[in-house]
Amino acid sequence: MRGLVVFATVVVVGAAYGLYELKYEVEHLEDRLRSLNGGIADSRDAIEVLRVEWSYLNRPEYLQELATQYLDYQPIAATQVAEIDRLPFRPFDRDENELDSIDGVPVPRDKPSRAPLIGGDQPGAAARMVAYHLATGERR
Amino acid sequence: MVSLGRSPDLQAGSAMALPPRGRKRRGFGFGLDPNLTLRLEGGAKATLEQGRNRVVVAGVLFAVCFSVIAIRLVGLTLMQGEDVRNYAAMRSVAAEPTRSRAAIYDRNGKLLAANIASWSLYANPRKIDAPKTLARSLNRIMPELSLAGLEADLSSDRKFIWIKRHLTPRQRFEVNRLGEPGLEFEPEERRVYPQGRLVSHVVGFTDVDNHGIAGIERTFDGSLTGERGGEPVTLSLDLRVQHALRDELLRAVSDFQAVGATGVVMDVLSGEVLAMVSLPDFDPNKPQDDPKDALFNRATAGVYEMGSTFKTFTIAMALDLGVVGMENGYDASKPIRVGRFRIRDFHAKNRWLSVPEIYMYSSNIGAAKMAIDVGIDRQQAFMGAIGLLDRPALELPEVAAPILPPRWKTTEAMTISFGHGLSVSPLQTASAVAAMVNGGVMLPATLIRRDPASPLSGRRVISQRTSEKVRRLMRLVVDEGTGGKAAAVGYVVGGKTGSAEKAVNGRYKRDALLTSFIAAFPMNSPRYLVFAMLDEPQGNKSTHNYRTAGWTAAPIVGRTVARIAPILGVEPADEESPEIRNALLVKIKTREGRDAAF
Repeated sequence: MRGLVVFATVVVVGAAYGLYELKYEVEHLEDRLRSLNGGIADSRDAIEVLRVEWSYLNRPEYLQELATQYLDYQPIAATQVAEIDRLPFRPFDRDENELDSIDGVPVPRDKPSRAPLIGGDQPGAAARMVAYHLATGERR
Repeated sequence: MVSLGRSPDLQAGSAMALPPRGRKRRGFGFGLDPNLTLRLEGGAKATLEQGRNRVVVAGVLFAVCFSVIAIRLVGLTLMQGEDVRNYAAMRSVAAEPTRSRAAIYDRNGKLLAANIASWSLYANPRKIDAPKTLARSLNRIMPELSLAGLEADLSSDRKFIWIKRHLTPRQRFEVNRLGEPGLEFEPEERRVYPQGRLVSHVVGFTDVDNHGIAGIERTFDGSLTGERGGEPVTLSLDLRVQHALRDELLRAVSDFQAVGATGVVMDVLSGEVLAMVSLPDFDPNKPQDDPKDALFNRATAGVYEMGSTFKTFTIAMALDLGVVGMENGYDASKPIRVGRFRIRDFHAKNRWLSVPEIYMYSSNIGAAKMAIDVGIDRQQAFMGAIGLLDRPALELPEVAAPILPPRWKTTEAMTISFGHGLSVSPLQTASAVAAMVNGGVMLPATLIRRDPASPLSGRRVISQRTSEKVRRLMRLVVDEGTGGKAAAVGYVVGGKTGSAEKAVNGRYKRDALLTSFIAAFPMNSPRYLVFAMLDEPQGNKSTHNYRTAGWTAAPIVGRTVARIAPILGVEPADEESPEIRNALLVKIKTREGRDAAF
């Protein structure tokens, strides 16, 4: 009987202590969860803002302006696109310039060069127009 | 009464004599030698017995309770663990989607509209000690707020006043730095449109409380704002195509000093709209800053007499019904007099014209005669079948119904054959022309991206063979006729010009033209349609002061095609190759049936 009582007492004290620990542990975990969730929400807000900003900075209009201002790239022309099997083997016994005469073979344009940025009413306007005329095949 | 211990009352040894109730012969008491038995007599015994009974009853009761709890515990943890976990998950403070309105994307997932967190600033003037200083500080941070207004507000006796809705993060930071206890922030959400003017008319906009009031925002207001953050919408628009079209239209508007312009790019095989532009446009982030008429979507809400573009429908109808063949023709040497009208040709040839020539030279006389041969009823039925007589279905609130003629007699049949007397929206025209070139199937236009696997709900309006003939005719216009400036070499463009005098207050204004060009490419197997329209273009030196569609609208289409075809993955073809020439060749016959020389 005494053993039982001692055992029960130990169990009660142990359980009480365990419960106490558990309660604080849970509270602590809940705090942590709350702060993590808060962090997630903040991060999501930030991601959303960054996505909007990314989209804003990737406006085609803006990219076009930057590209004409800083890059030598030009819009792709129909003559520059070909299927891979239409490409001939490298002509080993011919002059490089003779390539021009092969019918239906895409030829590279003149080496792209940066057009003077003078003229036009906004920066890059002249370069844009040059790139543009080349691509659209428009002659003025 | 009751005494414990080795008192004279107690007798050592196990109880030999059975007590009256056998169950109770065990010793009952703590700390006693189990071999001792209490033996009580008389009143004391009865009382003790009663006490024991009560304790036993209470014990049993507790035991039952604890058993129930134990069983319940076992049940909950072992048998229904799943439910409990779900319940716990439901109750937890997990991070929920915080946005109350879902985003809108283009077909490639580019962001067109989204909600971001924002803060609104309010004040409690009663807590503010130095309203004048504070007003000056706030005015420095947000110069758009007037100093006098701020001073008056901050020195008032109220408890709550809005200072400004939706501050920028920088403004919020600056206000926080003031450290004024009378100022507070209210967290809110704000709809932003990172693409600005580019997609203004299609996406629309919301009011200050984030309710959609125009465009897709309004149509999908319900589903965008569902309970758990709403369903995002993915449009059929391609931002790159949209930009190319808008860029070209903007350029044409400034070149020809037009008052406005509109354009559409459509996938003729699915009805998806890849681009839709209306100029002037507005910034959906602050729609109230632009003039009211900039909000008007010309592509869907504007109805116009499309002019010669309608000859496409007249000829397709006549060919499909077998009224004429490609080798037949009409005498276009004299203008037609009907009622008080005189129908004459702009590019008059004053001779007999074959069907391809009627289309190529855009002969009103030929088209009118063809419509009369088809008959008024059949013309009306055909126009209805290609959707020109009803309000089209599209996912926008700003969609106008066509303006039909008050009566449809011979005069109207003739004028409608070349695009006068029936006003339709550019979108309707685009859908109808798409059906003419895609093999003859009318598809409903849509602004929402289609799942390529889902079946199309099209309706056949002309035969495959007729559609092939229409392709040849449209190609002929670009190759030899009025649409030469739309040729984007390599992409086999075909199309038709349309110039109409603008009707103002029921009269035609001679000096105000609506010029348009509608094209499809590649014409040997059409995939995309491009439509461009200018409102009141003026001729300039580069057009020799001409302002008709061939000079003003066709170049927009040509340049747009050259820009978008590589984006859309259309392979350039050699336009002189025998396959393409055979697919698109038109044999033009003379009246006597001989091949005409070109």
